[in-house]
Amino acid sequence: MPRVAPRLLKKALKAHSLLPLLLPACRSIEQSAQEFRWIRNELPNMKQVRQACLQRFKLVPLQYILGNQPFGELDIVCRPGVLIPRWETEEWVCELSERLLGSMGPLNSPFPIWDLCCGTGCVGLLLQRRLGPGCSLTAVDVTDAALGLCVENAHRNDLERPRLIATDVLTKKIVPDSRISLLTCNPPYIPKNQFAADTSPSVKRHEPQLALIGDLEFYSSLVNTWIHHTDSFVYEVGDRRQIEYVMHGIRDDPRLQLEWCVGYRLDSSGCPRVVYGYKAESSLAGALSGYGDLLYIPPGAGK
Amino acid sequence: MFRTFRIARWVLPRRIGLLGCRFQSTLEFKELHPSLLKKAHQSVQEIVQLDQALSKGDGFDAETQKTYSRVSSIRSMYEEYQELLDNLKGLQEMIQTDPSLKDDAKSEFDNSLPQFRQVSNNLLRKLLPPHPFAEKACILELRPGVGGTEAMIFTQDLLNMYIGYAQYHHWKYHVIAQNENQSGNGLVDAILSIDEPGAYDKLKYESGVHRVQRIPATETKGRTHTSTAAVIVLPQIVESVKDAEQSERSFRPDEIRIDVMRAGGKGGQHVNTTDSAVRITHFPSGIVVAMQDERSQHKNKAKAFAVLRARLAERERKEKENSERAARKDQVTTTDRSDKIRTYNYPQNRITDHRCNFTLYDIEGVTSGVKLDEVIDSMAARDFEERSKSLIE
Repeated sequence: MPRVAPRLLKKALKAHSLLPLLLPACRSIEQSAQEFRWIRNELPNMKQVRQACLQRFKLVPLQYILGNQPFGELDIVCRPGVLIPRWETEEWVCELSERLLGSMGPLNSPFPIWDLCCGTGCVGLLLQRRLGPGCSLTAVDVTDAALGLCVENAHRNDLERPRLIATDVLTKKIVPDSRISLLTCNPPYIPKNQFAADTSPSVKRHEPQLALIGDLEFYSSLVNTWIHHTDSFVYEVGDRRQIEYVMHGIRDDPRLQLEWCVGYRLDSSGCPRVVYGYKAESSLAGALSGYGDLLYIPPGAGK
Repeated sequence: MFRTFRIARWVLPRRIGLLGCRFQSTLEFKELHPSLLKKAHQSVQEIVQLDQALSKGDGFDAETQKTYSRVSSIRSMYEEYQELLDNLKGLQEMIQTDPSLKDDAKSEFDNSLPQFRQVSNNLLRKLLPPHPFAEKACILELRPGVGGTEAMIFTQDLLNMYIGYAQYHHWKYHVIAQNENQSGNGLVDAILSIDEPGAYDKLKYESGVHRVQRIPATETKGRTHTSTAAVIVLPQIVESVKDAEQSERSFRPDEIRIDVMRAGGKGGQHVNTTDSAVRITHFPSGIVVAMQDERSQHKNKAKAFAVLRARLAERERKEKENSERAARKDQVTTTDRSDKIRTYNYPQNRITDHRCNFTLYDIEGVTSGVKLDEVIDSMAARDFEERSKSLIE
C-alpha cells in the first residue's frame, strides 16, 4: 500500500483529529472528509465514530462498518462474509431494469428471474422492485450467510421474500421448474494469479475470496448448462477475455449459434463490465438489443 | 395609468406612484386603466365561449380547465369591481347634489373605499400574465464571491437564512449539496432545495449578489470588510428520483457526458471505492454539474440531472424574457439584474435592498429567516408595479 504523505496527514489533522485515520483508505483529504461526514451522519455518538475511524484505518470497508450500502433505491444490508455491492453493478442493473420497463411496460405475464451467486441479493431485489410484482425471484448462492442476508434485504426493502436455493452452481445440477425469463449473475471473476497484484488491499483483506476469485468456470457453466433453461442472461465480467469466452461458446455451438445474440457493455469508467445474451426470437430482444454493443447475431436474425 | 375621477389631475405626482393611495380629497378614487379593463372584458367574453363549449358537451382538457378557472375568477372580480365602482359613483353624485343626504353618503363612501381599492388591486394582479414557474418548488444555489474566507462564512449565513425561512413557513427542504472549505467554517458552494410548490414565486427575487459589511470573525485588527456571495434561484423541474431517470433519457447521448471521477484500474470486484462523485457536462449550453454528497453514485447522478434540468429551464426563461423585452424595445430596469441586490450591514444593524430601496433595521430577524418576508414583499410589490406598467404599454 502506498504511503500517505506526512504533509497530507498534517493537513487532515488540522481539519479533525480523526481525519488522518481515514487517509490510508481514501487517499485524499476531500474524500476523507466526505467519508467522515457519512460516518458521523450514520452513527449516533462520537465513541462509535472513533471506533469506525479506527476500523477504517485497518482498511475495513466502510459498508461493513456502517452496515449498509445504497443500491438504486434500495438500502442493502452488508455484513462481513458477503461481497459488497459495487457501483458498477448498480449501474448495469439500473440500466437493465429501465430498458426492460421501457419496452415491456409493467409486467402482466409471469416473469421468472434467477439470480445466481446472489450475495446480498442486490441485483435480483432491485430488478424485483423496479419490474413490480409480476416477476418472481429465485436467489441461488452457495453460502447460507448470503442467502440469509438476501432475505433480510428483501424484508428491509418491503419486497416479497425470494425463493432461495442453497447450492453450488458449478457442481450440482439444478433443473429449474419453469423456463427462466432472465438469468443474472455476478460471479467471482478475478483470476487467482491476478488476485495479489490487481486487487485493492481493503478488498483482499476483508471481503470473502469465495466471492472474488474465479475465472471462466461460471461462464462455462452458463454456455453449457444454464443457457438451455433461459431466454436471456446478463453476467458481470472482469475483463474482455471472459466476454469473448461466452461469445465463442455460443458462436461455436451448432445449436446455440442459430438462436442467440451476444453483446457486451462497458461501465462509466470504460471497463468491460457485462456480457449479455438473448434469443433473437424472444420478446426481450427489443429491450436488450440496445443495452450494449452486439458481438454476435445469429444468421438470418436480421438487424 | 389611472384616471383620477372627477377632479382633473391627469398627471400624478411621482411620489404617489402607481398604487400610491394618497388621497387629498376624500372624494377621489382611481379607476383602472381602460386598456386593463378591456383585458378584463375579454376574459368575460372568453368565459362565455367556454361555457357554450361546455354546454355542447365538449370535454375540457387540463389546459382549458386551467384557463377556465383563471378567467372565471377574473370575471367574478371584474363584476365586483364594476358593482363597487357604480356604487361609488352614485354616492359621489349624491354628495354633490343632495345636501340633505351628504353626511350619510359621505360615511358610506368612506366605508366602501378601502374595499374598492382592494378589489381593484386584486383584479390588476389577476390580469398580469402568470409567471411560468410560479407554481414550482425551487432550488437555491449559493456561492461565495469576493472576500475569501469571510465570503464563505457569509455563504453559510445565507444558507442558514434560507433554511430558517423554510422552517419558519413549515416548508419541506433539504440540502442537496454542501461543500465546506478546508478550515470548515464556511462554504465553497451549497445547493438547497425547497420542496414547497410556489416557493419559486416567493424566492425568485433572491437571485443576485448579496453584499455583507461587517468585522469578520477572521479579522484581527477590527476593520470592517465588504464581501459578497451569489445566490441563484432555479425552478424545480424534476421532482423525484424516478423523474430524474426519465429526464436523463430525454437528453441525446451526444448532448451530455457523464464522468465518474475515478482513477483507472480494473474496477468491479477488484476495488471497493466509496468515491461516488458524478459530473455531468451538457455540451449545447456548456453547463457542468458535479455532485458527490450521496454514498450512492446513482443518487448523485439523479441529483445532478435535477440541477441540470433546473438550470436549463431558468436559462430558457431568461432568454425568452430578454427577447420579449427586446421586442418591446423598452429600457425598463428589471428586477433580476445580476449586480448587487442587497446589503447586510452588521455595524448599523441594517438591511437594504437596492432594487426597491427598502431598508430594514433588523439583521438578526432577517438572517434568521423570520423577517425575510418583509424584504421579499416589498420587492414583490415593486415587481408587481413594473409588470403592470409593461402591461399597459
